[in-house]
Amino acid sequence: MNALAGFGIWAQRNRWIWSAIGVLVLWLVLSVVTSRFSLSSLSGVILSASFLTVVGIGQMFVVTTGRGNIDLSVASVITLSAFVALLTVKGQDANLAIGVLAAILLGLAVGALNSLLVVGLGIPAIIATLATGYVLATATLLSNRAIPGFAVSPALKDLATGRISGVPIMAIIAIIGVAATAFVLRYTVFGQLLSAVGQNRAAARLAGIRNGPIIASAFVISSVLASLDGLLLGAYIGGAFLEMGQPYLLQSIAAVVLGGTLIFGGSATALGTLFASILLILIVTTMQIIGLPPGAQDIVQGIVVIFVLALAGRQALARRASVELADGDKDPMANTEAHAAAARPE
Amino acid sequence: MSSSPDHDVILKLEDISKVYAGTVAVKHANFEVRKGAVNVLVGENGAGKSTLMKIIAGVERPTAGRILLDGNEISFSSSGDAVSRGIGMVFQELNLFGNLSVAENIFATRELTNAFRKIDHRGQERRAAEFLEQLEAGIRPDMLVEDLRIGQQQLVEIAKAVSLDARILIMDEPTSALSAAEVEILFKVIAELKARGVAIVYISHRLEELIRIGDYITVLRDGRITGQEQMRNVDTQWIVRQMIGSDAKDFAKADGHVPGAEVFRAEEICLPRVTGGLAVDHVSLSLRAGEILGIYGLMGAGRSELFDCIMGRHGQASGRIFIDGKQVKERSTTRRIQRGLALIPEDRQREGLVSILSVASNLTLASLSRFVSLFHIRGGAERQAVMQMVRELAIKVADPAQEVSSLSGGNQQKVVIGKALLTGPKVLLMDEPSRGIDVGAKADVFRTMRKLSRDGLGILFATSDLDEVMALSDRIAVMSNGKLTGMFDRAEATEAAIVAASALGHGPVHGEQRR
Repeated sequence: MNALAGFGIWAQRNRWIWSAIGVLVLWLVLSVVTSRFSLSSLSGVILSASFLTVVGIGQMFVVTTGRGNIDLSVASVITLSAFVALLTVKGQDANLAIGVLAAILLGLAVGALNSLLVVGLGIPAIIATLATGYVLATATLLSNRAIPGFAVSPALKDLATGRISGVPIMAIIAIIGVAATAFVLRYTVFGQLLSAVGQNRAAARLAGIRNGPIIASAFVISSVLASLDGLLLGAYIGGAFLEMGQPYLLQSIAAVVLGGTLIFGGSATALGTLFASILLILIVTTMQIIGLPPGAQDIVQGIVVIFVLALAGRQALARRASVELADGDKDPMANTEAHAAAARPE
Repeated sequence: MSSSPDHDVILKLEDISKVYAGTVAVKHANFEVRKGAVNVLVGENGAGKSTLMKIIAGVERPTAGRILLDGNEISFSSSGDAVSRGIGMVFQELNLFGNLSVAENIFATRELTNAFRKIDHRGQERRAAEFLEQLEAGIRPDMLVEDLRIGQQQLVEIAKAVSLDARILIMDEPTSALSAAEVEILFKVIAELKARGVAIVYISHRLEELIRIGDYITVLRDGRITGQEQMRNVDTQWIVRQMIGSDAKDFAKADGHVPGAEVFRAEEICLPRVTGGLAVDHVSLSLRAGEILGIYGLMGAGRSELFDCIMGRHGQASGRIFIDGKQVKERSTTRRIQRGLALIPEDRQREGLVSILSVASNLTLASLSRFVSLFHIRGGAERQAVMQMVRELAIKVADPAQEVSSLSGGNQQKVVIGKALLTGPKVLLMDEPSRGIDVGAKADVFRTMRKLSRDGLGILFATSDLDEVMALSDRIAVMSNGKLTGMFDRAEATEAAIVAASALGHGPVHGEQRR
């Protein structure tokens, strides 16, 4: 009993554990129930999850800045980046450096644009990044016409599909990325400030923190990671097609919230995003094994996200309520109008 | 207690208590609302006025006690319930829809409709015009609310409440946004309502105003009712005494060290108010190293606003500030902190702490750059600084990795102070440093202030607690209505003089300058 309580407290601080448990349970169930699932198919799952993890980490930085910040342009960035890679690398290893540079520049440009809209002009992130995404989709259509062919540079292909003693290289990249992110969040000033800004902007400003640059960097990180992910994803599938980044929009957000990062900002976990990515891909795989049509798979993913957010939302409400009650006199009648409107008969 | 009441009691609160998650907001309050009279409710921020009102307006239900309306015990299930029993309320915050017309706002949620449930706009505007006529404010019912001045919006809010035909009308600081002329109109409307037998519960911080318009006064302090009188029997001094009280408190003793050279000077600080006039009105003061300068004033005197101006939190503020004789030209909060200013905000939860972060992270939040080598935060150096602060300020925490929200109010306050100290400030601004913490922790915070001043820090602190300002300050500045109305050395300061200065400029006489 005591151990259980201890675990509860520990798990409150290490929210990633829930998605890790989810992965373990689902994997065990699959191995027992179906013979078609083995260790090697797990490595396939992990490969797919790695692509998701990279975008998810970027999304996590944005969500952590709080106030409902979110990056809806990641899907378009992934697609455009894959096209730009085809245009710049042209299947030659010699052009690889240019391709990577182009991907990074694309990410920086989109991140800067998003920051300008959100931080500079004060447009809500949900609208600003949605609009950016549409602009990029048009750019993708244009580059689609100019595409020279679907040749992928061999070195890049190796990176995206290769394995070192059975472990996908892409998974190693993702894990290094997660470790680096965990370090940044925990041991750097940026990580601390990100957490502070995400939770309490007023307090952050009074502590002398400039909120703008912190929030802007989160958007830039998100775009750059999405762009690099698009480059690798293009190499993995051997080309590029319109809407190829689309599934990553919902999934990246799902990976963030499922992993235990607070949707209201201020607290992030890179490890959680990693496990949640694996869990999501596992869920998709499970549905494929069962033979659900793609549409039904989207429905299930949507339900999972809503379920997690409903749980998280209730916790956040409870927390908020306790803070407000503590200084009860401070918030006179904020809800009265709503009460009155709701309670009064027509 | 009030004797020989001339008016009938319409609403009676008997032995009402309200407990919020462990804190008691109202303790055993008995409050009577009389028909055809202005029942004034007064008290400092956090004294429990808002809670008491919420109970009357049906927003909150009391934890204990009885509410009697016309002698019958009732309990409101919601504010809509209270409205249907004839209890209306004018809110302090404007609860209007800016993109709707005045008439639409007045009839919001109880629109006049025809047989097909189509809104009768013309009828609404005609009715609204009647109410607005009384207010003589030149507001047309078809105007959009967002096009009105704040003062006019407040009048619309009042018209809305009047249109409810309430038997009991609660007004929460109705004059806070009104010009002198508009206040006069409001008072006329109140007189008419009184004549019609409406009971008015009137809340305001402007004492002169209360004395002029009130018939009965009830004073609240720390959730308790400390005085109840007929208005004709009392004066300003009495009200202030009841509001502030004279609890025995443990103030740290002065140690007699002599303040050093001037470390901070503010000249002609001004802050315009949204409603016109000045929230901070040409305030100039100076502070010496090792000196504690207390700024005393009632609610709304402009103390917090002055601090915000000094910290660069208001873009529209004007005036000059100097540190060590050199003018601070930087306007951003970040730069001013770097120049040696630090603020301990009044509202810890909202502005002082990042509640999910640990005690350690909160302490070092403002000074992280001190602990960085190349990329990462040097855990050792950070931990050392944290331990030093925990020791120096005697913060009671088992492990600095604990979440800061798990600490008591007094210890949270010390964390906020520690955070400010780690930035190496020369001047510390403390806004109500003892608010919301228990007596023992208060003494601790006061001792800390003494110690810091001994170490050469200049401290400016704002308070509405008379004993506190008398006991702690080397000099006392008094603010009222945005102006500096008094400056006393401790030796020459008397309570009477301070209270007199703090009541200067209240009421409509001075209000004329405000628009």
